[in-house]
Amino acid sequence: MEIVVNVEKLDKNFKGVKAVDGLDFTVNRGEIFGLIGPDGGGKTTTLRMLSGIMKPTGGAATVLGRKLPDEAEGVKEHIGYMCQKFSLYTDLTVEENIRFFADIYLIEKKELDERLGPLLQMTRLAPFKDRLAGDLSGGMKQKLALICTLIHRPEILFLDEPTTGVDPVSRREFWEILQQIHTDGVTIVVTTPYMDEAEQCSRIGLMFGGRIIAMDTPRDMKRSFKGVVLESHPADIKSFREIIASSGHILDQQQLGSRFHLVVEDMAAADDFIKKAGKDSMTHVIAASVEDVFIERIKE
Amino acid sequence: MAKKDTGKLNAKRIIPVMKKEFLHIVRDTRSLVIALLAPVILLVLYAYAVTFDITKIDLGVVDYDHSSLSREIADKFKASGYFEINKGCENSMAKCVQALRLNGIKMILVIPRNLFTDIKRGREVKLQVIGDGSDTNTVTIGLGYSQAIIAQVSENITLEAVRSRGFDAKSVPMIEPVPRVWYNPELKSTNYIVPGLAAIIMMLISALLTSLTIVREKEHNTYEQLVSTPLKPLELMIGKIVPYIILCLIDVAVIVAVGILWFHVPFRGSFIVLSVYTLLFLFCALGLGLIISAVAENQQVAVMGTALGTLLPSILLSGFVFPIASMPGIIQAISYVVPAKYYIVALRTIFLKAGTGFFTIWGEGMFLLIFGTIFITASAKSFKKTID
Repeated sequence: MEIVVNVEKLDKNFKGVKAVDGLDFTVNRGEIFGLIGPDGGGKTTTLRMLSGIMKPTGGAATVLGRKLPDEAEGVKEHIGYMCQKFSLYTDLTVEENIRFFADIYLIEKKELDERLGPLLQMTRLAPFKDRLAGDLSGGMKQKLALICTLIHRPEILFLDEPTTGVDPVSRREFWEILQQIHTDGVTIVVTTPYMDEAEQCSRIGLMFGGRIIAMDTPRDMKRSFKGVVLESHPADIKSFREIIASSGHILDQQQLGSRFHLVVEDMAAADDFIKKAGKDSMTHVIAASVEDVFIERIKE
Repeated sequence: MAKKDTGKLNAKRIIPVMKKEFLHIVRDTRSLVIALLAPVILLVLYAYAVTFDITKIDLGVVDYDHSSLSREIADKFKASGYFEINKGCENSMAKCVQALRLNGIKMILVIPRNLFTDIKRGREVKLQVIGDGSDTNTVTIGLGYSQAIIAQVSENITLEAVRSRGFDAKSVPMIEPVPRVWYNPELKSTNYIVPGLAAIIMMLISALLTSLTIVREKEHNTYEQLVSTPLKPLELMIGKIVPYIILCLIDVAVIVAVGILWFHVPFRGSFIVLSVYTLLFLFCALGLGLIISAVAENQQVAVMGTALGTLLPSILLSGFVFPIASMPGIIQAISYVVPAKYYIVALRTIFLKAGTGFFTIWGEGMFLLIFGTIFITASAKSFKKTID
């Protein structure tokens, strides 16, 4: 497997505050690598450094065999970077925005015309190509930004929270497009605060406090969960809460409407609790999610 | 895959930036109208406001003599057209002092008792002219006028005395200066204020327009997207200023037309020379705007920076109002980096002096070229391709 991004002990300080703290990871060609974690975890800073628009304070990063930040300009030609906030020209139309970025990447007009159709079709923006970018909906804006970063056929895409603030339908559509791009062989490094989007990635890194606290495929990540997750649908919520309080085994609990999401240490503890809770609570073991792993790891 | 790119400037990347910037200008109708109308409005407004032709200075006359001669002197002041005699405080020193204090009058003429009889007896008489030092400009000019009027009266008295002693007045030898002012024979101040104002207005407008263009990219995050592309700072700078050079050239054309047609400032030079020097000046002014925008984080700071960095020096240190030759050495040295200084000289020369060619004012051109290059290079250097 070819390593296209290699990060070693990468640091970034902002006036003494460590935004990124000794980061180590690699990304292989053809992967969708997700950096997942809450706001302020250092995801955006990491992506900016890898895109060559921010200088690291320490450590080393190599993208497509080029050292950063010295060879940043060389890197920029072969990557596509999409920043978190909408960053296109609102007073230019969809097509004008795309053509502007294509021209900056020195793409011949003929070639651009050939690429433009399929991209507009894939993103379903073709009917809106003469609309001002400022008049697009949130989801359409993100798709336009994606086209602008794809137009020069980059080898790696760095996408910073592309689905944040986008409605669920558009979010799903956006991921479908990303999977298609992935199929075409483009390596994607994407950040997201949404744990459920981890499933879309081939490998994920959980980011917290400027560090990657866990890194694996989503499946192995979930398998690495040490505890056992239980779910209950108690009829009497009040008395069920008392059962939880009296049981010494509960490591983590979350009430989701009338449903309870509980974490216990092991299977023995799980069996013990199921007995205590009784059949009426419909307590049963479920598979751990990435979110469970994340919560478990930050508690360690 | 994108093409291999060497470190050189590529015109192919400058053109899309220019096209994009043109679209921004054309689509923002309100700003475009302001950019085109503001210079004309400012010129018309300030060309009327800024005038050095002082007439009708308010004068208090205190005549202690009440003779035919004293009345003649007062009449001569009035007839000159430079003074307006205040009736309210006439012949009362106390009232005149009060009026001077309250800005009712600017000057007092005091004619002493026995003026007429002393002159008749052949004695020297002193007339007192008091001026309000808080308005130095007006008073300096007023004192000059009064000296000329009194000298004339005095000369007539001398000639009269010569004649009364039986000599032919024409045989008295005298040196008379015959002043002539070339290029602006009537010393009309509009003739040199309008070209000066044009330079100052263009300095402000051009620097402001460019400084806003980059700051807007910062405010709208488009800056972050731009720096993630292979676009080079100098390519961005050039691409951004070319559309504004064209816009500003239109502004200059409009201003010059208003100067010639509305204010009747004679245009004796060549339009080609004017265009070349205007281009050199815009190169400088837009470069300065780019420097401001590279440093400023938002539009307010950019506007403040342009006003302080271009407008004030252009008015105070360019020779527009205050002659540079009479400034202290250090200030004169500072005035060398004020682009408006060179453009004002160039504009006044091109407007008023016939036969002004490229080389008549080549020194100004060289300075503009040198500073323009420094400004553009410095702005490209200060424009970092990182965001922290």
